[in-house]
Amino acid sequence: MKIYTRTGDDGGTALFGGGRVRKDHARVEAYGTVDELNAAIGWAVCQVSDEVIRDRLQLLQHDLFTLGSDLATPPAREGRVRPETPLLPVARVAEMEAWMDEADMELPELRAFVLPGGATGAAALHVARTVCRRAERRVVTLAGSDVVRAEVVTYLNRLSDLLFTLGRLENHRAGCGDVEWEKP
Amino acid sequence: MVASVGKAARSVGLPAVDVEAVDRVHDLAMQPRVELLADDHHPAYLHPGRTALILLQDVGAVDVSVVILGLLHESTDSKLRPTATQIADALGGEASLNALTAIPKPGDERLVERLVVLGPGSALAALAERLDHLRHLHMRPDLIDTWADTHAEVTAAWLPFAERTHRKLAVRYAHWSRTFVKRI
Repeated sequence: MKIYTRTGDDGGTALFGGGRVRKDHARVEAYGTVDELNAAIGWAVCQVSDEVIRDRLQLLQHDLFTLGSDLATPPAREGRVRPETPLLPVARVAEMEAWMDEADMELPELRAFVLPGGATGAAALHVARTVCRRAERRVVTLAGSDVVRAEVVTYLNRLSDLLFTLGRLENHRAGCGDVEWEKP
Repeated sequence: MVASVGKAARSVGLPAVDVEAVDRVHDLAMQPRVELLADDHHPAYLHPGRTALILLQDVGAVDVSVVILGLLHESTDSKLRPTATQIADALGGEASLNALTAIPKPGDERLVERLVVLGPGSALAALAERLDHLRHLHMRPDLIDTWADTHAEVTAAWLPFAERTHRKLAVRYAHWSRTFVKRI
């Protein structure tokens, strides 16, 4: 199967379930940023030295693909049925909270603002965290003009917190600790 | 880890000579771990330094003898303890050795009695060392048969002892107890 179709050469793209929009449409921006987040997490998986963290990140990558497919599917147009998309990983939000609670048990108390950095894996997780926040902002923008499931915003909000926590955990387990901001 | 411990020691105001002593004792505490633990991601690998960080950062210990006690104390795995001769050679006397042997180990039938008669410095070192093992216990499936008993002992002895010894350590013991019980 060819990867290239030439159908997007005019700057437009097809949404799942029909309809074409410009490639800078809020919906494309939203699922495109979720895709970018998935790539950032994939990069982090390759940098993180802790096996448990790697396994969890890989689970999240599957979730994000599902989120992306949901965002790429606009509400049904009149007289049509919205195509079925995979179920959103709603239960993962509680699971992410449990992972953070467990990490908090292990981590030293947060005593200052933390700068991105430390071990390579932690730095990669901070990059992913910032992309996650951007994805969240793009989804909120889309929600201002179109239907977005609330669970998607909840998921991204929690994921961003988790990526921050995992970054700290990676540094902790690597023995280098947080890189703390020093007030001038 | 050695850099993090040195930085923490300087940040609480320990003089250079004490920071050097902390470095030297950290090296000594690491020797059996380097020799016996093949994986530097083993939860026990960084234990001495992490215990020192709890004492320096959470407790704000400014007495170098307390930090040294925390570095050398190993409550769980006798194979990872430096020998009495190594300790006496490194510290030039029996005093630290006596303080170390006074700290009761988990499972001690007279645990509570022996904890409550510890001096203030030994009490902090004992609590910090135990806390570091506890907060990484979920990463020790090889000890899973002991998890329930460990949790019961902490609730009955270590947590109340922390509550009467140091507020911040008590908070961390309580958080561990609440979170870890979900694993049992």
